[in-house]
Amino acid sequence: MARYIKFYLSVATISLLSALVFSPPASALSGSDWQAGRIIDDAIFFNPNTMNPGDIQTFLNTKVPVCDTNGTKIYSGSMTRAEYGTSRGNPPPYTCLKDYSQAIPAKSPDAYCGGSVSAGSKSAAQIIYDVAQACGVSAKAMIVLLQKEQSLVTDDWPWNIQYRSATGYGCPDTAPCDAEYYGFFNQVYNAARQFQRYAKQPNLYNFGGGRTSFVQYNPNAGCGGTDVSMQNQATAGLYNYTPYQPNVSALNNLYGSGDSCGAYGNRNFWRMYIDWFGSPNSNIPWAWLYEGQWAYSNSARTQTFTSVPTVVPGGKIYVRVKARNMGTQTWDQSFFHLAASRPMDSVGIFADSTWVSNSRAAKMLENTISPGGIATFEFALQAPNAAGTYSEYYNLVAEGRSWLNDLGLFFTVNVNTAISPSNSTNTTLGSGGILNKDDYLLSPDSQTVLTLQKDGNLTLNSNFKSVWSTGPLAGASRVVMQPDGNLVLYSLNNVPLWNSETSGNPGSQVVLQTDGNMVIYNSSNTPVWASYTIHRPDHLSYINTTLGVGRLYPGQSIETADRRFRLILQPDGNLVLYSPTRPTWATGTDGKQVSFLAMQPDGNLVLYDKSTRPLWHSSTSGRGSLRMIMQPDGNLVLYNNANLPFWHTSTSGVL
Amino acid sequence: MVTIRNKKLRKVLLASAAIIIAGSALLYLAVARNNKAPLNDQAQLITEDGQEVNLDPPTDEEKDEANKHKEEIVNRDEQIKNPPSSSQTNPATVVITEATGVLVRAYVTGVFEEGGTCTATATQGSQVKTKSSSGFQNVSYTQCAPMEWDTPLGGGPWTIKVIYKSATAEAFQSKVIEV
Repeated sequence: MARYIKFYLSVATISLLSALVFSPPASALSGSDWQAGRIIDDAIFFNPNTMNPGDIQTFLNTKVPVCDTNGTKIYSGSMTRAEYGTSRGNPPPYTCLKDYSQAIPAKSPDAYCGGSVSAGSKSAAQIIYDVAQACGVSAKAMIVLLQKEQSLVTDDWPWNIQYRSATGYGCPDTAPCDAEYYGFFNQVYNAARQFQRYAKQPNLYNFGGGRTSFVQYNPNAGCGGTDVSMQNQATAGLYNYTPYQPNVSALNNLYGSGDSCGAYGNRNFWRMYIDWFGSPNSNIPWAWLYEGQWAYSNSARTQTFTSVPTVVPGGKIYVRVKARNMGTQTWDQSFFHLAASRPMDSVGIFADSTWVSNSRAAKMLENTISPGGIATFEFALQAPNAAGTYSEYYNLVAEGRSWLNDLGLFFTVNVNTAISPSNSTNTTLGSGGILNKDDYLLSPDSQTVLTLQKDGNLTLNSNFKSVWSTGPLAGASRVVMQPDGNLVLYSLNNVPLWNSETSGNPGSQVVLQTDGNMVIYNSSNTPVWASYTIHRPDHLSYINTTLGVGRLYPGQSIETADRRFRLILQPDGNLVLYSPTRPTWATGTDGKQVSFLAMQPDGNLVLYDKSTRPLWHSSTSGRGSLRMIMQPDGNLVLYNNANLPFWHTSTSGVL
Repeated sequence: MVTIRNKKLRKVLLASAAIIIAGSALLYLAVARNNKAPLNDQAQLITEDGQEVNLDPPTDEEKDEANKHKEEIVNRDEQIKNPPSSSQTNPATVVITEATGVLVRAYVTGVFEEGGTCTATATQGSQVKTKSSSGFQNVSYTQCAPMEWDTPLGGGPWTIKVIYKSATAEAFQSKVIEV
């Protein structure tokens, strides 16, 4: 009996062992794993931080353990690689990718690659890393692209063409590659950049995330194809790059060829990525990529802040944020918000009445955004009441589901109360005051002018140049400093065209200051609005000796530094040049309704009345831009950019 | 040593012990096989995205595929430099990727150029609508900018035709859609 037991046990053991030896390992890739619409996920493909240069070099080293630099291995029969390569125009030595280096030019950021690349002699590993960083594309994806296009990663005797056309960029099937894109760096950079072009202009190309489109199996249209529903932008980008999908025969032989209708580019990208780097699926349901942020001083969001937004206490700035959906879930306006973070759920320091709640700044503008799409958030920030610099962090949250990855998005606002009130009455527009067209306010030192121009533009000029304006508003008729505290520009029909958004401050007035600033002070002398056009924060008195292209208003002058000689546009309408003792020249326009003196871009110096009729001019139009200088010798001269004089008052030496 | 008197029981116990030992050995082998231990005892590489990277040298399958691909690249390059005398004069092919009542998207293989014109026409009975756009280079083929109908197409079947015309090529493709 025992004998039989031993026998049967042995047979069982041997068969089971054999079965194990010859069975495939547990997690082998098969053609049935392929999903045409989801080759690789956005969060993986567009992640610039997947490998540092050392990791890339280590990886490249393992894929070519020994480089056949001299082509000593046998190609076929008794012919060596060196002999074969030479016969086809590619003699040794052969440089493998792990040893390749190249002098590369610098690249500045552009609309697609937002980072820069520094010039220098760099290894292939460094180039791949630098491009990944600059263009926001995964280094792993670029490595797979190089292998898919030119087998460059594993080749132990690469030929010149494989470097020259390393990513197939600019390489049509039946014509030479475009020489403009030759070379390893050009190829890698332009390929990465192209994937960002696809992502940023998805409607221009065949395939885009969330769209269903027809994809052929092969360049031969007779092989047919199918509609493919692109699950994300990265996948769509791969098809835009190589517009073919593998057919059944290609999927049945993952490491080889199928039938004559097989095409292997995208299949190979997918297979190689998995073999070398693991899953191409992020399986992260909620994730985003920063696409931009903007800050504006007006709710229409037309006037941007060009540096750190600065406001009066309690003032508002209007912001916009754009975010790209990098997860696998669709964002829905009903539950998707931009919220104050660090810490999460905190009450926003900039919370204002338009926020969704005191910790949730805004909901998405769009109804839904699928993976790969870009969402927009618009909201206002209300500054605190105390002077200082404030910052707040924001992050995306899918309510009841998850917070998203924290990318450190923040806004900074300066609150500035370092404005000292002026105490001269003719520099203010008091509560209830009105400025009509061509009326103007002057700062105490006459250097800054607020005027409502004929074209409806309410402008602030400092040093004869426009430093702030509402922009020309057709039909604008008058500016009112209303009793409710709001400064409003009205049309002839009383339609408000522009306002300072300061109602709720009864008794406020507009003040022009010596520092160049235009400020609205409330009845407690607290500033509630300012143009922030501070040019001389030290309140230094300023002497102008030159008028370049710009305007002189009644009451303004240009003079020599020692103040001995002075040209003044007098409030009586006369434009007069004074020596230390007497007037030496004048236009004789006293008594006329003078509006302003213009040094025009055409070279003409013109004195206009309130109907925009020229009262006097220097007859120098057509000279190009000139500038007027009050010279220490008493002469008033117009010079061009080459310092040639074209007009003067002939008062040199006249005292 | 415990002596087990019953002969049958002893045999059963011996058999069970043998099966358990064999089974454990098989289980061990199964687990060891599926644990992909790195060859050459190399260090693992986990990159900053938390993923493990394959540091094995290329497999024979990978090398064969890469060698074949390189041959194809080299042969194609040579053929482009020295095209056979009977080469086609008009290799362009239009492919329509999307055709709806709102717009048409298409591209052209066999040409890689700027300046060509793509024209989409939609025909239903006597109704004919037309929209043109420019072709532009995209990596290896010519992309037609999307052709959006001035007004959306009405319901029913439409024949959509896209014609590509440039100084060097001319081609078209048609398909029927249901709006």
